[in-house]
Amino acid sequence: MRKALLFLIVMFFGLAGASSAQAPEEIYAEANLSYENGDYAKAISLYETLVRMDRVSPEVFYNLGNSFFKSKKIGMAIANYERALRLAPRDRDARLNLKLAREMAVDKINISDRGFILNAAFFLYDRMSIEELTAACFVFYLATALLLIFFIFFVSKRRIIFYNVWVTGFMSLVFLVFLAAKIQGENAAMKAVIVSEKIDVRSGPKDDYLLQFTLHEGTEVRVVKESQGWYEIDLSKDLRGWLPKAGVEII
Amino acid sequence: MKKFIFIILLFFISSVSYAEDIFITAEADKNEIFLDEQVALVITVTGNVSNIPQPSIPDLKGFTSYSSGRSQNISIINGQVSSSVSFTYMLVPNETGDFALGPFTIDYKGRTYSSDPIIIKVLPKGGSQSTPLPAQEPQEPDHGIDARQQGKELFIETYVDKLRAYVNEQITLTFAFYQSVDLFENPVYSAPSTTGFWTEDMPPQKKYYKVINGRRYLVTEIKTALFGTSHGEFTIGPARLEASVEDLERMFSRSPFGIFDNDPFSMFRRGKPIVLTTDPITVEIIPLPEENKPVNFKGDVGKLEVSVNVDKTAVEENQPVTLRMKISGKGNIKTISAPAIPEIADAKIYDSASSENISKSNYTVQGEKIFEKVIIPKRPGTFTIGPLEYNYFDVESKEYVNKRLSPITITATKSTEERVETRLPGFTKEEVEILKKDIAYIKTSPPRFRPKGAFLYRNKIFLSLNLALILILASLYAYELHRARVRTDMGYARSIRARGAASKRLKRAENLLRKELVKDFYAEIYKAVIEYIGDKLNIPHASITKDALEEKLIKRGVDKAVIDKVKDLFDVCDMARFASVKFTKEDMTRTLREAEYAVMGLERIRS
Repeated sequence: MRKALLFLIVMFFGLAGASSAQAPEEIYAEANLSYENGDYAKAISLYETLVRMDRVSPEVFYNLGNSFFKSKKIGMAIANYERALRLAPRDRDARLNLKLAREMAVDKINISDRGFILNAAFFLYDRMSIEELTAACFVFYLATALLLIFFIFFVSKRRIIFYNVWVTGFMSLVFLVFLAAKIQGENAAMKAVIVSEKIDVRSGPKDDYLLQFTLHEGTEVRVVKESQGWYEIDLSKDLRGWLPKAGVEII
Repeated sequence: MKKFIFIILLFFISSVSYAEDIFITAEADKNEIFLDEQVALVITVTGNVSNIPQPSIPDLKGFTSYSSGRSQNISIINGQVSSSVSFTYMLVPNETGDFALGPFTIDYKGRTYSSDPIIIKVLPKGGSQSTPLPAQEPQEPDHGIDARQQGKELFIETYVDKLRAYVNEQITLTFAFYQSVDLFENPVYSAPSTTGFWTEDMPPQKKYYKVINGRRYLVTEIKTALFGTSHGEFTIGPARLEASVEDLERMFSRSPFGIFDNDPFSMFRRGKPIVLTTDPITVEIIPLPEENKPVNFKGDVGKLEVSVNVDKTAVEENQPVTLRMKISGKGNIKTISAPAIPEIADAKIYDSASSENISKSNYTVQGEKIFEKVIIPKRPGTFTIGPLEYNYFDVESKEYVNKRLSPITITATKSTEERVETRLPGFTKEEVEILKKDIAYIKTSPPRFRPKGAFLYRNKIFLSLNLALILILASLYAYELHRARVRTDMGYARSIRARGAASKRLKRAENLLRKELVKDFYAEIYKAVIEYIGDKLNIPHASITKDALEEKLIKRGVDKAVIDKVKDLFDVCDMARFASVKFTKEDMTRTLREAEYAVMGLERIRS
């Protein structure tokens, strides 16, 4: 009897293990089906399998965010919507869901709005992913290079070409700056979301340091430093402190 | 110096005391009055200053005061300006007794000046000018004119047609002004306060003559309709009228000598101001009876009729039908609200417009109110509107009246048009109602998977492509610079071509060597080297001499060894060409190598 049970267990895990060897498309379809059936826990584990397999896409992160949202894990939902938006910044669904998830977060942190003029200035920056910025920068760079070739060989047309070189060269530079800023903002600066329901922020990387303040799930922070399983986080100008790594998810 | 300051100080002090000449006096026209009379209080401020401030009037206990004007008098005597300002107040006593008025004070430049107080005795009311009562002529509907008013030259009164009324039932408030003398100017009427009532003015003013106690009065009536808004006791406040009449009393009551006191311009003087007030009226507003109160009763009171009609009974689906409901009759038309229309399945009902038409003939508020609704059938078929019900409270029979209107049937035919949402002007579009916010649904389209860190900017091939582009550009640019130089710089062009020409000649020399044509060989070597140097240094071939050559090469910083080699080479060539010295094949081969070496050595020369 026992052996039979063991066999069954092995079989089960074997099958479960086999699923990870499936094609990512199949896992994705299965995850979506689980979501539709309301089995959000299973959907989460399947989507996360894809992430572990290093097979990601904005859809995967978005759906994962939805699954977390439905499981009332706002912190993880926010983290995944953010990831989805990094890959597809113009996804309205992700944007709306992120907004909704943020509304459900407990802590009220004043995120300084850039204001109308700056928002207009950052119009492209906000709406383009790293890949798109790279491509745009490259296109203008290529155009500049081609124009320079013409510039070299078409001596009589040099004046007209010269102005165009300025334009494309400037555009290429603008996108290069955007790209650098975006890479810095998304890949270099460590953004994180609180995933524990409630977490104490202390003055140092140990439990016996002074408790400074408490944060709740869904609050977005910036990780400044790391030490012995603790992160130093930066909330706003004058709110800084340490919290255990397990309580946050790096986006 | 000190003296000087002292003088200035003295000057200041004197000027201050000079400015202090202000007197304030208060005077009443009589010191004993009856309760229904009034007293004029004149406060006079005299002084040799301009800008005399208004004196402050303390709360006058037992009186109601009204300011009734200000007069100023400026005289200049011996260069001194003195002015006096009189402020006149009318005081109406509120109760009997002795009252001390004042002292009245005035603040001027930080100092306070005050007057002596005035004592006024108020006696209980009792005919100040009672005249014998002649038989009263019954004229207007009598509403019991207050006896104390009778015989006065001016009086006012307010009265209502009923002291008990239902909520929203009309009460007519009448204000009447009786005058038997001419007025100096138009009287100022302040309407009574009617808190707790919905008011409706009822023009026009009615004027008629009426004889009371032998005096003929011109009566002016102003009527207002009042509708109680809730039940309870409400007070209609006192109405007030300010009028001024010619001050006969004063003119005749003066002593014979007083004539000199009289202002010679009395013709232009303001009249004697009189303030008249009425008593407040308390009205009881009773609630509408609860028994038999219809469920959908909306509070309309009066005597009303209701009718309903539609502009057409047959339309296409999605086309509007206008339903007109008319409520007319007596009552507070403005507050009538639209009768409810029961929901009609598969049809939409929109509020469209309402209009009212109010007339106040016979001093009764009446009129009609029309409500328009637009009904849009959403499917073909017949629709029944109603039966509509309308309820009001009839004040005459004191019971609720329920008007039931027969239902209206409209028929909608199938639309000939394609389904187009008709939007009519003036319709309120419905907002999207957010019941509960939820996240957008998951994405089901097949995704394009990629590794997490796979960014184009990290791709080595992409980066090297970018770098290659820069290199290509740089080399193209360098090539173009070179080409341009070849085009424009002869020396540069020759220098560039020198090597090629030299190696061509050396090749030919090698051929000659094979054929062992000694003289030709050396001639070719000589030409190759000399032309090469000429090209490199951009010197015409003809003008090259060995010595000049050496000088130029030294100037260019060419290695001494190379120069010596070149010179030796030339010597050997000259010997071979012009002296008949036997040269072996080995010699020739060595010379060829030396020539090649010389060319190589000179290659470094920059033109």
